[in-house]
Amino acid sequence: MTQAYIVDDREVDRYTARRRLAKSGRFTAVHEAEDGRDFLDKLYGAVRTDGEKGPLVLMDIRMPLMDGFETAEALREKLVEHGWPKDVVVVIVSSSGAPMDRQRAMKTPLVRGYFEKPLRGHDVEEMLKLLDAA
Amino acid sequence: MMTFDTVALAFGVTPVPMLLADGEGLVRLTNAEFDSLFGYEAGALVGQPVEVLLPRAMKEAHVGLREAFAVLPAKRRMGAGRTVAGVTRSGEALPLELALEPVTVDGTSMTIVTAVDARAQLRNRARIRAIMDAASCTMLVVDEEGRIEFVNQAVEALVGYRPEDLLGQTVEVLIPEQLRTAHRVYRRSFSSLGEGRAMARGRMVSALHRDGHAVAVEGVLNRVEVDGAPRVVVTLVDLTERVAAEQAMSARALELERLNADLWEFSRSISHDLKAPLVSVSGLLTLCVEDLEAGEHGELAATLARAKEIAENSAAEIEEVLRLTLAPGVEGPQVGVALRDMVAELWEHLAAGLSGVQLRPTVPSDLTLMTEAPVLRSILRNLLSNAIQFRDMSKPELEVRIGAREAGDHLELMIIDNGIGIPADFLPHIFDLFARRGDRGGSGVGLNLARRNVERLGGEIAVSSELGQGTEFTVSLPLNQEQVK
Repeated sequence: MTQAYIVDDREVDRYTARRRLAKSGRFTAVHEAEDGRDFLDKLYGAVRTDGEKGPLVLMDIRMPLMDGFETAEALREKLVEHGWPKDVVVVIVSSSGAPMDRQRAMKTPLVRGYFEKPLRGHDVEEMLKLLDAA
Repeated sequence: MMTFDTVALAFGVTPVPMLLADGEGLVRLTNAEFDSLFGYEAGALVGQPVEVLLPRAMKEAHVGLREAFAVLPAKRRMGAGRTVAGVTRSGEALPLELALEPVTVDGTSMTIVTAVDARAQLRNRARIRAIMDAASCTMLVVDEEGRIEFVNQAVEALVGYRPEDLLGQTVEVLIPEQLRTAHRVYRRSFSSLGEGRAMARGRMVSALHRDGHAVAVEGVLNRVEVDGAPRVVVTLVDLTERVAAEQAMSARALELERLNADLWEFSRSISHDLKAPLVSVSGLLTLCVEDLEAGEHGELAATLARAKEIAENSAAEIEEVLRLTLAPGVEGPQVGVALRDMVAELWEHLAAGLSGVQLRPTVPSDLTLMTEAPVLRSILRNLLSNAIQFRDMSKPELEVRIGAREAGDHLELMIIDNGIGIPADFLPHIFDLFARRGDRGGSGVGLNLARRNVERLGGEIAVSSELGQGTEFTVSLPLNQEQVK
């Protein structure tokens, strides 16, 4: 059983991602956050659930306050501090196809994949493989 | 043993003006050239004291000098630049170069005086000096000991000394203190270099101004021979302006680089802003297609409605930018706008999906404004979305208060938020194009667009802010358009 977080300031894109994840039937809960800080608050405000894979985090890049890369960096720090969630899988979901953003994603800790919006069915299958491999 | 006759014979054949004087300073013999140089009849000077050939002011002193010379005779050669003044019979000053040769004639100590007319030489020097003085660069002639023998007028503009202040000084007076010792060594090694290496190419060096500051100069050294003596001509070109120009150029290059980076970031931002809604619509439509194929119609209508709304809003936003950039002067139709409804509609769209944001309009529900509706909508949208973008997450919720009041012939709209506020040093630039703050995204266009739109409506926009407290925008629009209540 797995939980997922969608971190995106565009509500409509959260909606699309939510529908996509729901179609896979793999997630017990899908949480939404409109920026990085909101995400970290929700993740560490949640009850710690051991023995679960994930969570899977779908991270947008351009967001107010903290962008997706900064949020991933902040998550890594929190992870070191709290010791969980060790199996977290972060994937970037962005409308940007810029090589610069892909390169930066590769260098960002915890980030395992890069997906261009809009999300399609096969993107979610890919994410599930990453999750299983983790 | 030299006799008077031998001397007379020699005087007769030499083309050089010569005079023989005895120990008492009386002229014993002159040649024709000497007499003619001073304007006397042939032999008219014989028996006269040599002082008749001197300017009045020097006569007395010369007697003493002559007596000293008689006691301790010393050969005096002609030397470069050592001219003395003589006087012709008619009283005209005659610059001379003199040589004195102590001789014994018929057993008596006498002196042979050779005089050369220095007028032509002095004229030549004066001509060269005038030419050098006319040069815009500074020129110095330096002797083997490093003493300044000549310097042109341009030196004053460069280092603040007048030429006469520098004559006879060593060139180190123009070298910054810490470099003087090294310069003495360079100077000596330069003068000992062979002819082939006599020229040092121009280099940028520092000259010491009279007031103590260093002046950037390019110095070129050339070895020359002046009247048979080795000299170095130093040419100094003031580089102050060139250095300043180079600094200005590199500052400009930096500025351009920064602008370029800004422009790059701007196009990145714009392309994101244009692409994002299309991508969202594409995502929604793909879901619809899949729903149709699966025969699931539950969310179909709502999803399509969303896609339609995003497409319409996006088209309207692009329209706004185009209106300003392509037809800035063209006025659109004036319509009655219910301010409160417009604000509510915009807020619903902007705050959709955000938690912890609330709007508190204090706009009278019946306030209707005659204006270009799309322009006013654009202004309000930019200001409201700015408030959302820069909200303060440490506060329980974002509050945006909208107020409206009439002030004379103007309507004042206040948009007040409790966001993070704007730093005082950034506040004056808040409406500048591409002015972006921190890493909160945004293209740096929105508030610039807002100001241009306000100006399009003949109004003014002002901002005040306190860091950590919030920001207040005041939009003042003219009410000359008939206001409908």
